[in-house]
Amino acid sequence: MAEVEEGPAGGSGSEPLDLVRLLLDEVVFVKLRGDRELQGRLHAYDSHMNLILGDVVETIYVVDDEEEDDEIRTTTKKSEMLFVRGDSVVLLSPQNSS
Amino acid sequence: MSFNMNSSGHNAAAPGFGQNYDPFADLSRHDDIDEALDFEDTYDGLGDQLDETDDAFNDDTFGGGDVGPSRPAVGKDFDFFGQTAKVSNALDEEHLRFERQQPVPKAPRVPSTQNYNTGYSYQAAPQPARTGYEKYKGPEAVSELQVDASIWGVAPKKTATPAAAAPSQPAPSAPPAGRKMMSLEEVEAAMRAQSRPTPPAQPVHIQQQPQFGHRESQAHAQASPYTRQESHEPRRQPVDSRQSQGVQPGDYHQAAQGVPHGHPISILQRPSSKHTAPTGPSVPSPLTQQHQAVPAAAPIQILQNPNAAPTQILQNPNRDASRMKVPTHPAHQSQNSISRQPPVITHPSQLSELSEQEKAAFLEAEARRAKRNHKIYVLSKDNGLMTPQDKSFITRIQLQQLVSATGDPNEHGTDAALQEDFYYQVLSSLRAGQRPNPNQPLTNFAQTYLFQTGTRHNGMRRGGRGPENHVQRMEQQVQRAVEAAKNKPKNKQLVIEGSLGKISFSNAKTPKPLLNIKRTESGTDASRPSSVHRQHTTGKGMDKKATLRDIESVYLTLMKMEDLARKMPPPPPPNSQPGQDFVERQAEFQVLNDQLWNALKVHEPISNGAVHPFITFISYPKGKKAIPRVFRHLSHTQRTTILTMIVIHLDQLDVVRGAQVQTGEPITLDAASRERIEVFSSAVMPSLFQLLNESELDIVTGVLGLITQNLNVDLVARTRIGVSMLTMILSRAELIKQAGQSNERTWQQWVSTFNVFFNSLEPTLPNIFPGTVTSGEDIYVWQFLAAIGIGASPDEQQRLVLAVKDRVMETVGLSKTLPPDMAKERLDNVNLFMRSIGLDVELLS
Repeated sequence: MAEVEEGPAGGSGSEPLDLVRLLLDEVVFVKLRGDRELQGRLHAYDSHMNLILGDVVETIYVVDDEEEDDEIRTTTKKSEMLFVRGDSVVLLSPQNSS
Repeated sequence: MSFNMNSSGHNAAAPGFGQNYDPFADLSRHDDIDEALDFEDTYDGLGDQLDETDDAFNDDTFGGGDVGPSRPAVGKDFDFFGQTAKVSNALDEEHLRFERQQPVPKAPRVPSTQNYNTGYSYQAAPQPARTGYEKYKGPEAVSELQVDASIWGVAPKKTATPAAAAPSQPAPSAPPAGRKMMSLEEVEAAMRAQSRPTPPAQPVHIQQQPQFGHRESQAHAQASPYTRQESHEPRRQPVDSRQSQGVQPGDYHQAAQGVPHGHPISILQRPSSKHTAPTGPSVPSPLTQQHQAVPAAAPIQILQNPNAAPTQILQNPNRDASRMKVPTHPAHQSQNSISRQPPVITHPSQLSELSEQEKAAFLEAEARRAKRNHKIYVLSKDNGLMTPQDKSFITRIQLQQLVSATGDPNEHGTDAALQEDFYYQVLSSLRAGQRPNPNQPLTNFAQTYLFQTGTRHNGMRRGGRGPENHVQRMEQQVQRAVEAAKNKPKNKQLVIEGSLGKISFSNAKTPKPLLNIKRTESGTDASRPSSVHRQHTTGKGMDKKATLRDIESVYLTLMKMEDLARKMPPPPPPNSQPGQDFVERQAEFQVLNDQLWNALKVHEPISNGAVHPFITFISYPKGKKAIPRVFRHLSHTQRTTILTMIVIHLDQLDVVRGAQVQTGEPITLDAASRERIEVFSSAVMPSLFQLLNESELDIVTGVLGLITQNLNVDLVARTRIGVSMLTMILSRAELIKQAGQSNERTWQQWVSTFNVFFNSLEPTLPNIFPGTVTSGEDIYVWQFLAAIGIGASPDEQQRLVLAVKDRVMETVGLSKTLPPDMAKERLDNVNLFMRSIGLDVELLS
C-alpha cells in the first residue's frame, strides 16, 4: 500500500488478473462448468477467480434426452448478487455493453 | 603361461597319478606275457614232473599250480590283471610290433628266463616252479638282479613310487629285446634247461614253508600278494635286464654272490631285510633310502625271487613288520598289493606305513601339500587370465560405450571406436540402420567395415606397444566422453520410422519442450505489436483498455491516498510549527495527488477529432463513481478544472450524446443509457454541484459562458444531464445573487451571459420535455424552467411562458384526469416553474 512509485497498476497488465481487474464494475460474461453462463457486473474477484457479481443473469443449458430432436433448453435465473466459486469458472470475458 | 604353471603344479601335487600310469605300462608287459602262458602250459607239464619228484609239499604251502585257481584270492588277483590285460591288449600289440621292428640278436637266454619267470608270475599259483627256476637261472638272473636294484634305486628319486616310474621309462625299450627272444623254440629250450634245476629248489621251499606255516591263518591273504609280487617280477625283469647291464656294479656284486650260491644268497638276503628293513633296500640301491625303503625293498625282492626263493622269504618279514603295524589282513593285502603295485592310489600312505614313521610323516606331509596345491589350483584356476593390458582394454570398451551412450557415436571418430570395440560398433550401427535417416547409418555402417579392416590391424600392432599406449587411449576416451556429453544437446530429437512425430529427449540441462512455439520477428512480445496495430486501426478499443487501466490506476491511487489520509495526523494548530511527520505526510500526499491527477488525464491536450481522455474516463460507470472520491483529494483548482473539462465537453459526455429527448415523442433511451445517466446524476453531479456551490459567481458565469459559446445549447438542453447541469449553474448564480456575495461587475457579466444563453435556449425550450405529458419524467425540466424563470428578466419570463405554455396547459389538463395524488404531484412540478415567475397553477385553472 505504501509503495507509491509503482506507478499506475492498471497500465502494466503483466498478469492475467490485472486484466481482470480492468473488468471491475463492468458487465462480464462468465462461463461455468456444468453448462452454465453468467452475465453480470463484476464487483470483486481474487486469485482463485472467486467472483462477486451483481445483477446477474444465469443461463443454464439443459439437453433434454427425452425429446427426439435433442433440443437444448435454456433456463435463466436472475440474481441481484452472486458469489461464484473460482473452481467452476471456465471463462471470463468482458461483455460489450453499448 | 598360467596353464603350464598349473599343469606343472598339478603333476607335482599329485604323485599318485604318475603311479597309476606306470602300472598300466607294466600290465601291458604282462599281457605280452600272456602269450608266454602257452609256454607255461607246456611248462606246467614240466612243473608237474617236478612236483611229482620232490615238490609235493610246495603245493600245500604255496597252494600249488593246480590248487591256486580254486582259491578265491588268487582268482581275484587274476581278475585284476586280466582286466588290465584286456585294456592293454592294444598296447601289447604295439609292443609286439615294436619288438619285431627291433631285432635283438643277443641274449636269447635272458629273455627266455624272463619269459619263464613271467609265466609263473602270471599264473601266480606255482611258487615251487619259481624256486626251481631261480636256482637254475642263477647266472642270467644275476644280471637281472643287479639291474633291478639299480632301477629301484633310481626310481625312488624321481617319484614317490619308484617301482612305477622306473619300469615305465625303461619299459618301451626293454621289452623288445626280451620278446624277440621269446620265440617258441627258444622258450622251450629254456624251459627244458630250467626244468632240470627244479629239484634243488626244494630246500628253499622248505625254508619258506615254515614261515608260511606260521602264517597259515594269513596264508590266503599272503598267497595273493605273492602272486602279485610274481606278477610284478616279469615287468621289472626285462627293464632290469637292460638297466642292470652297467648301471650299478655294487648291486651287481650282491646279485653275483647270490647267483652262484643260489639258495645261500637268499639266506644272506633274509637277515639283511629282516633285521634292517629300511637298510636292506639301501644295500641294493642306496638311493632308495631317501624316499621309501619298503617299496624299494619289495620290488628288489621280487626281482630277486626268480633267482632265489629266499628273496620271497625276505619279503615275508617285511610283511610281518607291516602286519605288526596293521594287524588286519585285508589291510595287509591291500598294502602289500599296493606297495608292489604302484597303480593303487593309496600307495603313498601305505608306503609310509610299511616304512619308518618318518617316511610316513614325510609322505603324509607331501600328500597334504598335494591336496593344498590342488585346492589352490582349483581356486586359482582363473587367476592371471587377464593381463593389465586386457583389463585396460575392457575399461576402454566400457568407456567407449559410455561415449556412445551419452553422445552420438556417429559424430565421433569411428576409427577409434571401432578400434576399441568393433562388434559393439557394428551392432550399434546395425541398430542405427533402423532409423529413418538412411544416409548416416549407411555411411556409418560402411565406415564400420572399412575401418575395421584398416584400423583393426593397426590396433593390433599398437596393442603390442605396451601399457602406456593404453593409458593414453584411456585418457583420450575420457576426453571423448566429456566432449560427447557437451555435444549431446545437438541431438535432441529422434525420429523413429513409422511414428508420426519426433521424439525429443530431455535432460537436466535441456528439458523436454512440451510446447514448440516459433517466435516471430523480435519474439519478445507477440501480442504487443498486434495490440499497437489494433490501436491505430481501432483507436476506440485501445482507448478502452488504456482508459480502464487509468481508472484502475486512479482507484489504486485513491486507495493509497485514503489510506494515507486515515494515517494523517491531525493538522497542527495554526500558530504552531507543523511537525516533521506532518510535513512528510503532506509531501507524500502530494506525490499521490500528482499521480492521481495524471491518471485522470485531465490535462491531456484537447483535440477536436477525438474524445478527450477524461471524458472517456467518466464514460465508464466506475469512472463516474470515482469522481466523488477523487474530488475529496483534489484541490479546489483541480476540481474546478475538472468541472470546466466536463462542461466544455458536455455535449460529448456519454450521458449527453445521443441521449436527447424530443418533446411529444416516447423516450427512446435504452436501459444502459438510463443507467449511465442515473450513475452520472448520482455520482458526478453532486460533486459538481458542491463544487459550484463553493464557486464564485465569475466561475459560474464562465461555465455558463463556455456552454453558450462552445456548445450546441440545443443538444445539451434536450438531455437530462444537460438540463441538470444548466439548472445547477443557474441556481448557483441565483443563490449567489440572493446571498449578496456578488459584486455589480460580476453580476452584470452573469446577466449578459445569461441573456446570451437564454437567447440560444429559447428555440429549444418547447422541445426539452422528455416524452409525452403522460411520461411523468419532466420534473427536472420544470426545475430547470424555474431556475431560468428566477434569473430571467420580465421580458425573458414572458418569452419563457410562451415557450412552455403548451406543456403547462397539457400537464394541468392531464392532472385533472389523474388521481388527486398524482395530479397534485404534476401540478406541484408545474408550480415550481409558475411560482418562479410569480404565477401559480391555480391561476390557470
